[in-house]
Amino acid sequence: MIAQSEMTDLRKDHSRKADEGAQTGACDLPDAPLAMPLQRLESGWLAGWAELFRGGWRVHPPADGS
Amino acid sequence: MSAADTGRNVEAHPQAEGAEPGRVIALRGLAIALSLVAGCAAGVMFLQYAAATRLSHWAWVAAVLLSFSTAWLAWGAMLGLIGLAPSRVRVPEAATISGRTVVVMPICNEDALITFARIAAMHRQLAGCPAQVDFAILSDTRSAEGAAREEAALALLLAETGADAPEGGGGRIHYRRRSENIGRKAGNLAEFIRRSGAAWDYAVILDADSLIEAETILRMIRRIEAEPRLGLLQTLPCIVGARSVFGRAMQFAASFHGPVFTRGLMRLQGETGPYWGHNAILRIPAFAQCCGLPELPGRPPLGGHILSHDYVEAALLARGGWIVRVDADLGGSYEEAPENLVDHAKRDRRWCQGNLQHSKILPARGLRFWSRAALFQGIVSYLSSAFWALFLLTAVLAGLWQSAPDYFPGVVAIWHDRVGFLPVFPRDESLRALSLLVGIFGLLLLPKLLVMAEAFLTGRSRAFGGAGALVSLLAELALSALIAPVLMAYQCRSILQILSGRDGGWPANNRGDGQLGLAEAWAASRFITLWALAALVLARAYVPDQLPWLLPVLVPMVLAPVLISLTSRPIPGEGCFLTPQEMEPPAIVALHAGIVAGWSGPQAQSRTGAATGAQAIAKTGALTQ
Repeated sequence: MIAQSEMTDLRKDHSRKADEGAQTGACDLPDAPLAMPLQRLESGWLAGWAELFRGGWRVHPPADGS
Repeated sequence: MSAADTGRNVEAHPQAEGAEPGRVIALRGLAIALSLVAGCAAGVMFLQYAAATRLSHWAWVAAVLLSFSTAWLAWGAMLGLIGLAPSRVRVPEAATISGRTVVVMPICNEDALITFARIAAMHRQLAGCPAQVDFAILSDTRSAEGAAREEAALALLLAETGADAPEGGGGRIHYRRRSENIGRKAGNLAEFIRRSGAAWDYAVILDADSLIEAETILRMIRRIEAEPRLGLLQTLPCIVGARSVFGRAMQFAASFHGPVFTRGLMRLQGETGPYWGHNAILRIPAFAQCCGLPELPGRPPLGGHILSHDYVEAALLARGGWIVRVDADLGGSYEEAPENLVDHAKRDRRWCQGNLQHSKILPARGLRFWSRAALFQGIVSYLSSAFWALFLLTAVLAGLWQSAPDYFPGVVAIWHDRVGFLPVFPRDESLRALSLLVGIFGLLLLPKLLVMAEAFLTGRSRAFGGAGALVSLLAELALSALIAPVLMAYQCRSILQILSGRDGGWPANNRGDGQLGLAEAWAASRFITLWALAALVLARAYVPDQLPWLLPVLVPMVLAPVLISLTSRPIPGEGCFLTPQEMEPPAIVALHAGIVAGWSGPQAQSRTGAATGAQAIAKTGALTQ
């Protein structure tokens, strides 16, 4: 059977080749973060009434999802 | 990084909602109106039938339930009817591809060898293609054994795709395993996008059992590049690889009827089409911008992480102004399906919980009308089983409360100086009851019969075995009629469990041959047999005249374990339920089978210059799963 060390070597070799610009390889995901703000799913009318009673009235969720 | 920072793909992002074309709105209105008319007609006919003796409260309840259920059936029929005409629309495709694409496969406790071989097959087909297409396997597998099997399969995959030959392959292959599977599949994908999403423009989302031809992947990319407002493009996956009676019947039905019904859906979708969670391409910046899913308030089963995230993501993309579309003409997209009723019911339990969760999302602020309609349809698709069961129950109760006919209600006659009462006989409404039954079965059968006519007229039936397609169709109808009461029982139990607060979790899919013995089938369905036996005894004792109407539902339920076991076995002979993909296996499916065989066979030893990765997997158990 293929030894665990051989598999590890294979992956390391793959990553190295990817780092060198090879087309294949690089098992690890690239570090390229992208913001994914949480969306608001409150009920339009329920949340609207709750906010009305709290003294405010916001029609649209904040763009940043906060 | 926000979507606005990601460059060319976001520039054309619409700020305002696109208006639905008037034709689409008119078609939707017509389909909804006709469905409601059919539902109301069924309710009225039932009331007229029940009024022949005396209308009880139960009869009114039964009539309302029948109206809902019939309207839902009629809606399904509408999709089929609307989709009958062939599509002549040519979808624009970009001439050249400039965006970067990643094919993403989220997995969790899958058979590593078979799953990774799918990546190998798609990678090999994409070699030399005019686009940068990378692959990312996103594992949520928790067990150390499962992780070891994936590592071994990854070694095979890397060897197969050219880890030792830099010039080979269709793109980079990435693999990562999360230590904690927060948010399940949707959380897995979200974590990937937050960590690495800016590296690509588009993501082709797969399931562990998905396969897509390279040519189809390229067409998907070309279509999303050609329409800058397109946030997500869904394909219609074709089921392949089924072996059992149940699996092949479902595979045949999906292949034969699926394109027509999807075309119907396509004509109603406008800009707010569906997303089925896999075999689709999405615009990563749009998805990141709109589809960060929060936890729902409350505890599972209705609160917590969103299980059926795909419908919600489609609704959120549409809320953000992006087009979500299913293109029924895109072929070359495949998936597998459960091989037996129990596995189907297990998956359905998860979908049922996910769809009922949508009741909390239905009134969310800013959703577009058709997105709400899609969420509502998902909820009703599960509630309709409960409606049918409750209808049967209340119709029986209505019969129980029925008074004996009053032949002398006080109509007086004078004849030869004598005064007497005239007998009044109740109207015979059996013809009306029969018409109602024929109407309901017509709604079930008519679309399928019309699809059959369309298939024979256009020559599409040749790919299903010509005249053999007729035999397959009739066999599928008969099998559907037999298993429908069993599925209804499973769905009713799911709804009861969810409403009583039981979380079904996210059990792993079984993707083996799925054969079930009688003992296993009995263990999984004895509640159905016991429910049906109790109903039979009660009906025999209290409403014996209604028993013949109940037998078509109760007998398959009593025989559920036998049905489940028999339909989980391989189908005898090849002729029945033949599909085009069986007559001529798609290139990607054949390639995958070849790679699996290669990885499992002795020749795999030479690939790594050592013992085989397949053996490594076998040691840890994958091949025996």
